[in-house]
Amino acid sequence: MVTVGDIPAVSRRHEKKQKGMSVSKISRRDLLKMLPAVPLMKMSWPHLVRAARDQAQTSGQPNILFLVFDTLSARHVGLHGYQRETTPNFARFAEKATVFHQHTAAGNFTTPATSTMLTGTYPWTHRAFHLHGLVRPDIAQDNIFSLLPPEYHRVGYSHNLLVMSLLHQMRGNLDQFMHTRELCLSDNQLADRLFINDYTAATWGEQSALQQGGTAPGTLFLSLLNRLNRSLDKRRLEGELGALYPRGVPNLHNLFFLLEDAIDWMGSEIQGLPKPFMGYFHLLPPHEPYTPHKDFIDIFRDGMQFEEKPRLFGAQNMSQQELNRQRRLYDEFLANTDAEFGRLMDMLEAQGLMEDTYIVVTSDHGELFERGIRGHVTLTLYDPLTHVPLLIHGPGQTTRQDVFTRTSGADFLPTFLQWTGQPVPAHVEGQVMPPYAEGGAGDGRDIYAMEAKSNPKFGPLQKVTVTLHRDEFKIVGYFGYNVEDQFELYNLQEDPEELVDLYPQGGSIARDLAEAARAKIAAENEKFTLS
Amino acid sequence: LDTSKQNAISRRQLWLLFAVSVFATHVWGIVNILREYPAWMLRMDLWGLLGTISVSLLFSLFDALLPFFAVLLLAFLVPRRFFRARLVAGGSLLILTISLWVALFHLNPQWFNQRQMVPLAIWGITFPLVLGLGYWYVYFRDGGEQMLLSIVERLSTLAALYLFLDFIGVIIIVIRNI
Repeated sequence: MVTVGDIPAVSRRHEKKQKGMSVSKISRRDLLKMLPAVPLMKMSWPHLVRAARDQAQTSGQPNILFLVFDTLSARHVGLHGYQRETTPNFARFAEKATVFHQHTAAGNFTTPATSTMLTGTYPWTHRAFHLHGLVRPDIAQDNIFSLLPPEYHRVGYSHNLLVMSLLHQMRGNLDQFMHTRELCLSDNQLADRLFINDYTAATWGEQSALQQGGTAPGTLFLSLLNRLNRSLDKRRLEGELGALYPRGVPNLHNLFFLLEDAIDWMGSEIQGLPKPFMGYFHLLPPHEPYTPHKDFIDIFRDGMQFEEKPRLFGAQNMSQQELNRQRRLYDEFLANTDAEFGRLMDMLEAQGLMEDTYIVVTSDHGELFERGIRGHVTLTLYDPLTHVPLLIHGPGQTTRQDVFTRTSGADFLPTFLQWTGQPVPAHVEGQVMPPYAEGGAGDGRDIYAMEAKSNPKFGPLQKVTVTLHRDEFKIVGYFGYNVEDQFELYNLQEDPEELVDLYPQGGSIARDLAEAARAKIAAENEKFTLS
Repeated sequence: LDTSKQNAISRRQLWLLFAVSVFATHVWGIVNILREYPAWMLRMDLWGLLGTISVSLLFSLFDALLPFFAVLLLAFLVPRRFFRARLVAGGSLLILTISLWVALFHLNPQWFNQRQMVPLAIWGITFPLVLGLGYWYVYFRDGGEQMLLSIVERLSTLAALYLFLDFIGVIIIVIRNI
């Protein structure tokens, strides 16, 4: 089919002449008259380009680039006072961004926390609090993609297969759904190829059949072939890239990837996306295993020791020495991640995208190297697990702004809707973030995080860890694990390291917050039962 | 190539061999499903659970094809009097023994992962011994073959049930993926 754009200009002019339409014609004299204006045009060329791009954005809506680095704890970021210089590029980016100092993830692992970011609801509402959990269908339909104005071009990508489950669920709301394998070296998964419309159930079936997890694989022979295939794959990649990645090619389970590839793709392709766009990119680093590029190996071999913290509920047995060693490995991988982030920002800046784009940089949850616990597979919700960085660069922003009001992962959806002039659905539990809210919102409200892997998805919350932040206090409630509920209380302003549990001292604050946490669970359970 | 009718493998022989493969892989697969079931129940609704179980069963069905075709290949490679003369009994013996040994391997991943050489060696050495003993019993002992065949007959009934479950599973998978 030939479109208007395919017809040569001469033909179109001839066609217009035949139809008796007026055709503008520039004479030689006119051209000479225009010559003095050429230097002026050159001077204002960048502005003209920008104006043309703005014109192209028919709605005048800003682009939104939502960049999530998995498992990035704010407690390891220099901007938030970390001793090691892990994130110089975050600091550089912060000079043109709004830095949120008390941003709180809604969970301690990907599924619940990301679901909260995507739907603006807490885990007790969206119910995705298990591995590969999915959001309740009625909640899932109102997500950060579907609620944006129709002119937005929506793109979603993740290295993380737990996020892929969620993106598959919201695939109908994406204009450009990118499979994990598109920016990976190897993904070794069949579900994403064979069972595209039933990804999550098929993923469980596939993993159960082929992989040795907590239990033996469900197939006798195919699992052996799969094991052999993965082993060969790993050997091949280590042969090709082992010199660059001495601690192993970046991977998670069966997935092998290079962060550099994803950054390169974003750096080259984002500018070509139809505008306005909403791009959600969820990249795995610095998630374990901590496998940085060789340039970052041993950069923090500084002998730094971190103090031992009280081992309370959910403590594990890893020695402090090993925790410190693991922390160093994590920090090195984080420094690698930061360098790649810096490279991306340079590319976006060179393309002028920072002029018309909100760039949101955050993480889904943090990582813990204390109380004998390494990682984030735990029942606890200590601050390094839920305190994540959040930096937002607004279109054309040139100065730094600091926000000390506590914000939640549930706030992204309402904030994006505010930016794009859309109404916020009534069921959304987040609020527009302070600098963007009319009249300034956020102060004085309770903010929550939750962990409930052992609780049935479709049942009242009976085995659950909940944190409630109110002002400078944070209470942690462990419900249903023991005969009696347990609590810890911290004053994060005076004791940000959570060294002194104030709950045993009693007092009105301990009582009130414990009661508030209990009441919140009861209220959510009542809603759940009624629904 | 010997193409005489006498040497052709009958449909009944094929069915019985396939049935033994289906039995071995499905018993293992269903035990695994029952082990995973409590964790799946926590996070899925009934329809999702049916989808996951169906995919697991589909994998078990493909798993059954591997030993089945391996035995058929062997039947064509090994001289007739050593294997094909008593194909169903010999093939079933091979499939069941290998399945049992592979299952032991899967149940004890630490043998391989932690290089536990003693149990690994016992596992490796006992395999040919048990297989040889079975071979002797089936091929050289009176009534040995008959006994194994009667067991295989009974297993084939169970295998038919498993295949029926696979069929239901395929329907569920198709519906969920439309």
